[in-house]
Amino acid sequence: MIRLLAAGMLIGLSLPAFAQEDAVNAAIDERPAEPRDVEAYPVTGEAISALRVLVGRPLPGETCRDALFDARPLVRTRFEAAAGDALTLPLADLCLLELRNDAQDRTLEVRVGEDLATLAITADQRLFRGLELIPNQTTGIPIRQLPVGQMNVAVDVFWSGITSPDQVQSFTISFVDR
Amino acid sequence: MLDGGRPDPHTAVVTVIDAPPRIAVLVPTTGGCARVASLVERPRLARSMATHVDDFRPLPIAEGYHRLVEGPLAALGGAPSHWHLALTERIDTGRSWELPVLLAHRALARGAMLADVDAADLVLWATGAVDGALDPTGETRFVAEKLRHSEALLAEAGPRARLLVGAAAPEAALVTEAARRLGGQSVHTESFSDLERALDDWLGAKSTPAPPGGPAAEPVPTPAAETHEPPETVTVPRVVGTNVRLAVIGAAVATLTAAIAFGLSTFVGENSAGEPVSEMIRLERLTAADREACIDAVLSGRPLAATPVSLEATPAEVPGEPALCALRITARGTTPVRLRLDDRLSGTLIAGDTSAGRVLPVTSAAPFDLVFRRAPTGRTATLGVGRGTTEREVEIRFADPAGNAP
Repeated sequence: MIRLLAAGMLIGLSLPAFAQEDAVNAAIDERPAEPRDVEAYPVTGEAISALRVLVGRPLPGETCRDALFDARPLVRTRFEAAAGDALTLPLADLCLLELRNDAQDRTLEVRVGEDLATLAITADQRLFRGLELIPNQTTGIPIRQLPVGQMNVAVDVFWSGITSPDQVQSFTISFVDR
Repeated sequence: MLDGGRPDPHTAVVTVIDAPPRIAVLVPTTGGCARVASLVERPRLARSMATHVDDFRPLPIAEGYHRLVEGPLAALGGAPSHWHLALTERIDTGRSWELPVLLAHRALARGAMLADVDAADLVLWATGAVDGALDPTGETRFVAEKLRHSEALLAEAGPRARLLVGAAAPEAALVTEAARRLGGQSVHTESFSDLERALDDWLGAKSTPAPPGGPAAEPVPTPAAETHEPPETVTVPRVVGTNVRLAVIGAAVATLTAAIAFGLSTFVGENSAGEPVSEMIRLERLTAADREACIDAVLSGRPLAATPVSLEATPAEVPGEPALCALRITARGTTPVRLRLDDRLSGTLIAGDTSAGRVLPVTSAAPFDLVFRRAPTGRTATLGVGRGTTEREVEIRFADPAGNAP
């Protein structure tokens, strides 16, 4: 009984934190990842399973100007890509795009369509020719919101050192200004 | 005179030391930094093996290690045997362990003993693969990450650190810089002979054990001998055994010490020749009317006024005015350049990737913009620029327009 009471108190105490997180996600119009999603995307033998796409948006009431130039905190949302899929990202309030290799022991190579250079305030140029991400490495691209309508950027992902084009996996990031 | 040998007219004994040199050999990886815990000849093993220090199961690199021992290492001579390599951390993939492990083998062949970092006379750090002739081969990558993972151990080593990397490594300059900061030494090795010469210097300068009835001493030119006329050859005997008396070649020590102090070793450090920075890159400062206009232009993609920065003088002076939005770096010529920026601009750069602390290739077609979150007024930073085998550095000073000290 005592344990039940303690658990209830803990849940009660954590509710404000959940509420704050929901408010943040509501403000940026994105659905929070279900807790089970964390376990639902293990890194497998497929290169794309190791890639995480992270999107940084400003805090509610703030702008990318605040986040990028005043070093205000960013609210990050993580996405997992699937080969052949399209990931749609609204450009409004999109300040930072990050790509991360979540594999523990394999180097990933990522090649992004040149279209992204239009939106990138600055970027490692290797991103467009093939950038190697060692385990747990992240590359970040500060983004400017331009009226592009819809811009589809192809992303190729493969394990570093592979020689067969069959092992290259691709997906699309679709930037939408709305 | 060498212990157990005939008097040598080219050498003079100045001291005799009973203890062999103690070395720690670090094997950096992208996941951490291992140390060679032990390296023992095991003739009864069916094949050479590599394991974690606390395990008997072979690591995934064991097969490659066996091939290294039975192939190019065996080709150096001596009775064929098998070895057991034990590492303090697991290494599962890659080939960059080959150079440090080779270094460990060759150091032991000179009579050195393995020790922990705190107890070692020298701490050897190396990364890279080797070919069938034991020459460094391939592109040594992720040097910055490996240095980062080794930071604590190298800091503990301090001036005892000796860093070795293949001369072709794109980030070899980082190794030089790390050694400089530690007060240690670095070697950019092009061949197995370079590695052997480095070990002769490092182990022979302190103590040069004589082979008790072992192989004949080979004449090895010292770096000093290569830089002085007339050429002088100093006998550096190869080492056998663990408890031998160590002779230091007196006449060579002073010359060698001076040579090392001056960094005169011909295979160490940056090129003194090669193209200047101003011929490798074009540096421009991008400005707007004021800070607000600067931010507006960066966020909207509007063009900024570009003004060339002279790289003829050092430090290169850039007005650190609030209207300074970015620095644009473009490669001159058709060959890409490697950029490396130290971390003294931290806090002033926009979120995302910068070249701070790592190497960034830049071409003439695709310049790199270093976008400032706020003006770096009063700061100074060092920009490393490399192309081919040339490595240069230029200081950039962001002068305070008000004349205030940083």
